[in-house]
Amino acid sequence: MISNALVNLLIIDDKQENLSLISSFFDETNVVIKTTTSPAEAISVCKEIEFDLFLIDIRMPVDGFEVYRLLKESPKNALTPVIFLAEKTDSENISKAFNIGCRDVLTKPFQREELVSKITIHSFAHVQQKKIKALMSAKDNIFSIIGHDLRSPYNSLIGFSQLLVEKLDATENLEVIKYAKIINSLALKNLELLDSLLGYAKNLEKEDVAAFEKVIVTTIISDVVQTTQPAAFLKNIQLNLIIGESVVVFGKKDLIATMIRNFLSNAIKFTPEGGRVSIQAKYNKDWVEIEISDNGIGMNKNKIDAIFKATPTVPTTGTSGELGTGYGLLLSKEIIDKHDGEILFDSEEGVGTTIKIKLPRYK
Amino acid sequence: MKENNTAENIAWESKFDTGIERIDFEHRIFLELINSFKKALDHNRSKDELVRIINEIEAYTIFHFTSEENFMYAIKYPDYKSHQMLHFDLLEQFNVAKYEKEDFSYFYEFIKNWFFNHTINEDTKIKSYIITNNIDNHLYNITI
Repeated sequence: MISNALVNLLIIDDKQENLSLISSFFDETNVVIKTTTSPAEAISVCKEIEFDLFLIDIRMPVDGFEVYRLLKESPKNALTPVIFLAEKTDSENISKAFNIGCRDVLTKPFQREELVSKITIHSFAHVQQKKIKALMSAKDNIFSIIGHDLRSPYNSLIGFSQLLVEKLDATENLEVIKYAKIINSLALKNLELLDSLLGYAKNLEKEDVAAFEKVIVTTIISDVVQTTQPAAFLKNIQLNLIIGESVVVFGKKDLIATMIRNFLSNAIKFTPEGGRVSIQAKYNKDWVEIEISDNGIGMNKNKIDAIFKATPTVPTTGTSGELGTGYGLLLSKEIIDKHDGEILFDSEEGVGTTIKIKLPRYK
Repeated sequence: MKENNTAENIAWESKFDTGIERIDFEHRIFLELINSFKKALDHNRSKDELVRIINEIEAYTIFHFTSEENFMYAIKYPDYKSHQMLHFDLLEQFNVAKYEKEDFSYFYEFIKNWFFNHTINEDTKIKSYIITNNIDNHLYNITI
């Protein structure tokens, strides 16, 4: 047996002896069987019970195809898959059955093991499909909450705390300025995290290459530097944007911004107080290279190798105790892959890290 | 090769003749298969061996029904559809009968009665149609 879950099977055949024979095959299994010779009874039972599979004989006084059509009218069974029963020499109906989109056709005379196996596999496949659908819809709900209810207050929080930092700058109260900066920085960080999660979910959902457009990376970088500035400021890190020529790639603006923000935040996170982080973008032949370097704690080879494992690794805490989720890097790698780009690390423990993100140049 | 126990063998009779050479030839083989099953049954052969012969009969039935249906189709036999339906019914009954593994004599009775009834009552109707309408069926003559 594939699983311990019970599955509901409805068998319709105009001959009782066929029903008894097939049912007897499932005596010791998790398949709960309802049988009937009457299409009318089948239709009425389908209004009450959701089945995981129908097994319908084609050659009945009321054509099996018609019975199937009527059963699917019940909302509970609109998606229930079907296996038809036909005689082995009835090639006409066998073709028709496959053409209307059945899961399979079992032919009489049948082989017991084949019948049991196909019915089991197809009904469990349907059960699993239903479970996946339920999980997907729960996930969609969570992300919809993140995307709206949870996300929107952060913009106010960032805006107001920013205002506070600017206004307080003139005052003498250093403690208050410090706390306002912490609030601003944490709010920004959390917003980044929410966006990363959202981006991760969206990225998983669709291969949205059609939405690619001409993206000016230079502009994105200066926007990102602006939003990450408070975090650097808080740690007294010198964040340098090295201005060069304007570089353009073909891609998705939001995703590229998320990716750059992740790497830049990481660089700040792993650079001690008083350090420096710099970012620049330039052309190198057919590539756009975005280089982010810091004089932070650096990584050894094992750490670099483990960084893009499919499941997020245990996040490393930043030099000022900043927390992470481990999803940021994973998402960033996926974004790079989606753009047919690559990433190179050059890092030494205690010296610093330079990462080079290569994206195909826009032509 | 004559069998000692011939009393149990069903012999070919003229009432089985359809006059279509290849169909008659196939019917003879079919009868041979029924007789081999009976022989195995009488000699208390293993269940496994009996099941193997049932599988052989099943495969031959499918082949033979296809032959017969193709012939009826070729001569535009008016009752082609209803005759095909009878074949479908027989396959359905065969399916139930083959799972009667506790009592193989049930299968023997089933397959024997089927052969008698279907051949004498139904297949010979094709013969009448051919004679009445003077249909050329030489393509189904045996040439080897």
